[in-house]
Parts: sequence; structure tokens; C-alpha cells
Amino acid sequence: MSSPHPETLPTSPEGRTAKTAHQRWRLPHHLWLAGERLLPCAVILLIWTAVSLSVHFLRGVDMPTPWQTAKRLYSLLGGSTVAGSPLLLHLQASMLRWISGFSVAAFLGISFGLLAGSFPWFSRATRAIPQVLLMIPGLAWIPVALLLFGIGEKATLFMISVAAFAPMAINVRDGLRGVDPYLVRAARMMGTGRWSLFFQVLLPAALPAFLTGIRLSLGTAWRVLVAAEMVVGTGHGLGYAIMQSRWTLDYTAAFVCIALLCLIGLTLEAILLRIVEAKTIHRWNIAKERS
Amino acid sequence: MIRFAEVGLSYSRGHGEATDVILESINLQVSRGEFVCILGASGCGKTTLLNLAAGFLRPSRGRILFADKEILAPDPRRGMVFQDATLFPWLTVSGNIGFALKQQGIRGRQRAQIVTRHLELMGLSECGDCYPNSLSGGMRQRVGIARVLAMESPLMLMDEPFSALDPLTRERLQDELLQLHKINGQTILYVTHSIAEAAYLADRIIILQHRSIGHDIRVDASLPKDRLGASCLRLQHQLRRVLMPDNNIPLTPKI
Repeated sequence: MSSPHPETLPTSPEGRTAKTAHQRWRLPHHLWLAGERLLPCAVILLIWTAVSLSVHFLRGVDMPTPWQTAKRLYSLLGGSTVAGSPLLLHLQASMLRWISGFSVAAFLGISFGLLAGSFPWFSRATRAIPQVLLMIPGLAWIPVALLLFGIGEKATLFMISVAAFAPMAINVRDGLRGVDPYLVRAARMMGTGRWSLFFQVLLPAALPAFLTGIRLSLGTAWRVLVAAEMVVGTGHGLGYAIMQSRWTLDYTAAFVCIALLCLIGLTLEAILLRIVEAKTIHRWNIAKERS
Repeated sequence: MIRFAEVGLSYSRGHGEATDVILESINLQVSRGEFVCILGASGCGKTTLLNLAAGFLRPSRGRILFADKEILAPDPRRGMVFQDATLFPWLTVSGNIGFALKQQGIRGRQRAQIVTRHLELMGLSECGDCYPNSLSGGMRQRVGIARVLAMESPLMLMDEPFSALDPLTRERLQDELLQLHKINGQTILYVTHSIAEAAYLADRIIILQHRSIGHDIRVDASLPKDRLGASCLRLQHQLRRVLMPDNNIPLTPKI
């Protein structure tokens, strides 16, 4: 007795293979994926619109909607200015400060973490430093920055670096100290020398913690940058532009700057960190190994 | 090959506090080519003994000599297969097997040839470019063994390497290990808590009891290696009586 193959598709009168429900849903799979990714953005835009309209009707205040913000962004990109300068100039100034501040924090944090992770005596002697720095909010550094450097670029750089240092230092240190001791034993059993052990075993094994440190440090640097520009900025930057827009009641421009801050943060995370993670720890499955 | 002379290991809990004795008065000499199983209940110091042989730990008392020289640190001549394969997840299977060779300064084509030979030997030819996370437990242990074989360590230390595997894979790997031992003639120190495993694999069984060597049993090498054979079952029975004297096991098993 022959039975139809379970995967044989029914054929339509025209001779074309009829699509099953499964196939019909399979076709736009990529679209579904894209939709899933865009859904959180759509939810945020909906909530934003709802809040703007509610504020307008309840309090009679014009809060910019996403649509008004997008229109203002278009005009700003077309040449109009915010806080006396083109938007791209503010963006460039902020990015430069962010990269400089993060670079200083990353250099110091990684150096500190490597030393503390490698030498227990150094770790014991300096254990409190990153913990104390972690407890201090970014804005609390304003008086210290002003006293040390006065108003200007150096104060901004100091605030970013000092705030972004601790997450990097702690993650690098703990990442190195948390490497599976059996991996170290295996390496030593195979005759691995001190430097090879460090570069070929400890560093790759601690990579997930390093990436977490970079992610947290980048985020902290970004947040402190805006706060620093609002208070000790030097005439350019997104934070400065937000503050000036508030004084000139140009709230739509302020919203443009806030939206840009979010977009840049998300884009950089997606481009830099996710790609690195996909090529390293996800491919190697280190997180699963550890669990 | 390796000799433990009055070896003891103890840890002090702190200044003025009691001392934990892990091992005491271990005297053991293992000759070249022997397959020695170290058997004992959990926590009796089996793995500690292996860690001492590897050089991961230093004894509190006594000396451990390998090729007539005192063991002071880990060395590729005493390769270890761990309970969990302990492969480097960021390296491919080939990379893991070649890691030790790289440390020994073996470069390029020569290293690739050695790696390929050991991939073939362990039936891993298809997996050279795989990362360890994509392998089954049995395959990972094969890589762990291939890594030590590629190092050509004259002494192989194995810490319950098959204990986490399913029974079928375990038996297959036990057979493969016996074959490799027969071909290469390496000296093997094999820690296990399985009586059946020790009875099947070993030329000699060391039973650790009360922190020291309780029994040293030599297995008749002329007997066939058959896990269901009468000699193997009789040996298992004998080991059970030694390890569990209060269990009222009859003197002669019904086989």
C-alpha cells in the first residue's frame, strides 16, 4: 500500500504546486525578522506621540512629536543652525570628545585591570579605587573638574575619563581573575611560558568580560559627555546644544539632539560590539562554556 | 618512570588552627608502560595524587621523582587529560591539538602533519576546523587525549576522563584507550571511582583508603581484556570486597 509522502505538496489544477500555510509564512521570514527588530522602535515612537498629544491637550504645551522632530532634523541637516552652529558641528565636537575621553579611560582602565588581574598584591593595594569611583555619579565630578581645569575641553575630558575608567578597570580585572583555573593548568601542562599564558590563554579567556567593560564604559562616557557639555562645555556639542535650545525655547531642536544621541549610541553598539561579539565569544560559545 | 617517596600533603586552615591532611605516606613506584588505575571513594585524594604527579601541587612532605628528577612544576612530558576536556574554546580542534606543539617550538608544516596524524588516529579528521562547543562530550575527550598524545608525553595522567560520558561512549573510548596503550606503550596513571572501569583497563590497581595506599593489586597480564569475562568480573568482585568490606559480599561470585 502506498501512502502519499508527508512532505509532498498538493498540486493545483494549473499544475503549479500549491503553497502550504507553512510556506506562505516562510516566504516573508526576513521581513518578519526585520519587523521584530523594528517593533521596539515603533513602540517608542507610539508612546512618544501619545505623550506629546496628551501634554498638548491636557496642559496646552507644545511638546514636539516624532514627526515634528524628524522635520526639524531635516531642516537642521539642510543648513539651519542650533545654538548658533550647524548640527553636524555639534555632532562632530561631541564625537571627538567622546572618543578622546573613552580612549583615555580605556587605556587607563585596561592597564589597571591587567595589573590588578595579574598581580594579587597590586589588586589588594588598589581594590578600593575603582569601587569608590564607581559610586560617584558623573555629574558629581563637575566641581572637581572645574577646580582642576576650569571651564573648557580639559574639564570635559577629565569628567568622561574618570567616570568611564571604573567599569573598564573592574571588568578587565575580574575577567582575568575569573579565568577557569583548569584552562591555566592545561596551558601550563603543555609547557606554556608566562607571556604565552597571558596572551594566548588569559586574554582570550577573559574576552567576554573585556567586551562587557567596553560596553559599559562607552555608555558611561556617552552619558557623562552630554552632562559635561551642558555644564562645562565650550560652545559646541550635543549636550551644549540641548541646553541652549532649552533657553531659546527651541524644544524641537533639543529633541533632535536627544534622538541623535540615542541613535548614535545604538548604532555604535550594533556595529562595533555586536560584530566583535559575533566573531568571537558567540562563535566560540565562551559564555555557554562558562555556565 | 615515576616514584612517590613518603609523600604527604596537608593544608593549614590558618595560624594556630588545625591542619587538613589530604594524603600521607604515599609510597608508589610506577614502571614504564604500566597502566595503573587509582581507585577509591570520593574525597580520598585520588585527584590530588594526580595533581601532585602533574606538578600542579607540591607535596608538604616527601619527594616525587619523574625520570629520577624531582617534580617541581608542570611539564609536557607528563600530559594530563582532565575530567572535563578543558579545551580552549577560542581555538579549533586542530588549534587545540597543535597548541602544545606550538609551545614546544614546532612550527608550520611539521606541526600540521603531527596534528593531522593525531586527528586521524582519534577519528577526528572531519572535525579539525570545528570549535569545541560544537562537539559532543565524547568527541571533546577524544580531542583532550589527542592533545596529550601529540605531545608524546611518556606519562599520561588521566583524571576520570570518561566519567561524564554516557555508558556506550565511555566503553568505546575505554576500548580505544586500551588500543592506544597497546600501540604506544605509554605509562598511564588513571584515576577512577568506577570498579568496573579499573578492573577492565588496569594492569595494576592502587586503592586509596584513609589518605594513603590501602591496596596495590597487580592484574594478571596474560588474561584477556574482556569486560564481561570471568576474570574481569572476579576482579571486580575482589575490588568490591576491598572497598566495601561491610557489605557482606560472598567470597566467590556466581559467574
